[in-house]
Amino acid sequence: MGALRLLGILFNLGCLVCFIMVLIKLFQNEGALKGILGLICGLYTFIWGWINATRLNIKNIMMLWTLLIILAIVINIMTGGFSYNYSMGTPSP
Amino acid sequence: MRQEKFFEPAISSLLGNRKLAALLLGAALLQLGLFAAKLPGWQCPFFHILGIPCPGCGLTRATSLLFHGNLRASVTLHAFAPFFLLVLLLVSSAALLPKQMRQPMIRNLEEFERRTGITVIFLGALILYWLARLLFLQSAFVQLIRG
Repeated sequence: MGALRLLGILFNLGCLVCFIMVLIKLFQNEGALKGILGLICGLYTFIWGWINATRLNIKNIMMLWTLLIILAIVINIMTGGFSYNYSMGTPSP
Repeated sequence: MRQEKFFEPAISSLLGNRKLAALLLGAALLQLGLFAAKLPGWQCPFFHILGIPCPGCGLTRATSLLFHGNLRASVTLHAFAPFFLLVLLLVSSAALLPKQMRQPMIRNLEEFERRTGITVIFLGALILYWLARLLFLQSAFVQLIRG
């Protein structure tokens, strides 16, 4: 299970690296406002990356990012590392 | 010229690309649907690796709470959730409305963005909100996102 979790961390790290690479391209091509939007909403960065993959020659990065997302989700499911609830956490004083 | 550059429209230019708007709408609905079904969806790489919530962390849950009519809990989780829901409605309109209705809406929005700088103000406020939570309420912020 420890090896799986480590693998999950590596996949997530890969996702982070790909996200930052595409985010930089977003800032360079669309300007600061859309770059900040991409920082806030990773989904927008991901979709923008795919739409512009051929033009910006980042198809390999996008394919790798997509693969890493899928693998990270699979590992998450296998390790039970996700849980969704409406919990608001414990309020701190 | 300086004002035009500062108040550059971002949301309206995004909505002007129908393909992008449709894909965004699809992705947003998929994300909300996966969350509602208690299945894993898009996860924040920053939070997973660095343990630091990004400015958008909590928006899926907060938007879902809004759909359930729980405004207070939604705003507690992410104060900008209502505004993102509004943007989602605009994206939906851009993706689904016919051309005759879509183009005047986008033109009006572009004009509004240029005149008021609303997008700059909105994004700036969001970043400040995120920084304030991170600097002054970090443990509560992280706990809130972790759930």
